[in-house]
Amino acid sequence: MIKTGSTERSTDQLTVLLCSIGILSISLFAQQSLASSQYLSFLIGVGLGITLLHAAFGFSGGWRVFIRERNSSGIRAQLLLIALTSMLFFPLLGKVFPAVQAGAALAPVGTSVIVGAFLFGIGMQLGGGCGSGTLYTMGQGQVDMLITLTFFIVGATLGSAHLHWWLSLPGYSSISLIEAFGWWQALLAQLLVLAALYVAVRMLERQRHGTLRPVEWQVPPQDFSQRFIHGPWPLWWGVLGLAGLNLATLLVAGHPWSITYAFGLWGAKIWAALGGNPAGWTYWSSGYPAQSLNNSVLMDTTSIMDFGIILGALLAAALAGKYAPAMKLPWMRIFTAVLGGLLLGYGARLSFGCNIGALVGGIASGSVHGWLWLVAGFSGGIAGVYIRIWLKVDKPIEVQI
Amino acid sequence: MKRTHSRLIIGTAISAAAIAVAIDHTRQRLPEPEKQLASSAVIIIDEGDELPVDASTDCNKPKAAGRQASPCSL
Repeated sequence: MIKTGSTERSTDQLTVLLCSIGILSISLFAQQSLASSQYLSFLIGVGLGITLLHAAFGFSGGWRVFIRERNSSGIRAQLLLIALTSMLFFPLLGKVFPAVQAGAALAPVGTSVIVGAFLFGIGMQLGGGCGSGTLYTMGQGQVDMLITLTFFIVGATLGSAHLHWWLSLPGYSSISLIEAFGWWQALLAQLLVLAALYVAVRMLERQRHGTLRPVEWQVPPQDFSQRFIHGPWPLWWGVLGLAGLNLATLLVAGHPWSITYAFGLWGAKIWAALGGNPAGWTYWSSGYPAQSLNNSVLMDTTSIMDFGIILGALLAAALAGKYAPAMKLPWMRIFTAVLGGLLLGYGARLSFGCNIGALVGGIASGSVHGWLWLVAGFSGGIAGVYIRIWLKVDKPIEVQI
Repeated sequence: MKRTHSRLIIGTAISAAAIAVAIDHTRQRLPEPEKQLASSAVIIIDEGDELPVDASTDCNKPKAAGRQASPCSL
């Protein structure tokens, strides 16, 4: 263990060494044996893991403190991330650069998205993390998130088995705002709506507290290189990093950053290894899902990026000395991790993604399902906060008059 | 001490996942003898026309199928 700069934290050298060897080995293997896009996707995933951990960028915590305390700083950072990502994505998806082949995160708009996002919102609060949060906090060493991730995989697999039934319920096919209105008109309208939401949450916070808590743009003064390597990063580094790496994913993989497709794939592969026949389920029987089920897991961009996120977060946590020491797991925490994980996985599959693939990726792609996801997911978040209170995980909300 | 326990659990989980990935990768990449024979036959019969494509490379790349949509939206 060594001390890092003026901070009290200490770098975990052994974990840094093991992680670096792991990242280097997988990179070299992917470069030699797989497609070049897989190698780059893995490194983008590592970058995302480092960014998420050093900037402590989360979704579920931000929603919870807003619902409970009307502290909007986290939600405002998320709105800025969506706005910036939209500005980067819309010209590319609007074919301003015809040479760039990029696919949007489009999905049907219907009952499955509403139900799925609502369940996901509850799961975020019970499980203690969202799609990205579960991966990076697990990489940070939080053992309870390992339980959440395990049942996230179970839920996503169950969701893939039932999706065809949910899709038979009322709904519309995918709606692209870029195709409907043109890229810059749609972008302008979208930025106006995001700005209105930004002002609204600010107003609600000011109404409750009289003052406005700033988004945590400022961090204690520290040397740039020390901060870059060991963190913590200002939140705006996180916003820039996540938007930039999402753009890199779009350019390299051909689609926006997504996380939860891989969980269903891993579950289906495990089920097949146990003697099940997921290939017989409608979802895995054709197209890309069938192809990925029959191919190496390392050929799936989402999977290799998820591996990168976990290793990147593990590396960043070790560099920052933030490796989680907590081991105490009360039964209630195990229960919420199991239930939350199941809801996260099932909900993500029904709603065509999580807070990253459907919320950020969907809205930044100009897909109406992303906006529907936001409304239903946040409603689920409110329900989840009250379920936590009912389960006595959290104290009741104090009403300030 | 607690940190060591936590590290052991996560380390074990990651190691187990790595082994599972290695098994999956190896299993998927090993060609079946019949198929290998068939591939060889194609090379002999269609010499100079079209070489068989490795199933794990270009034609099955996520890009090929995923260009039009995000995997999550599939």
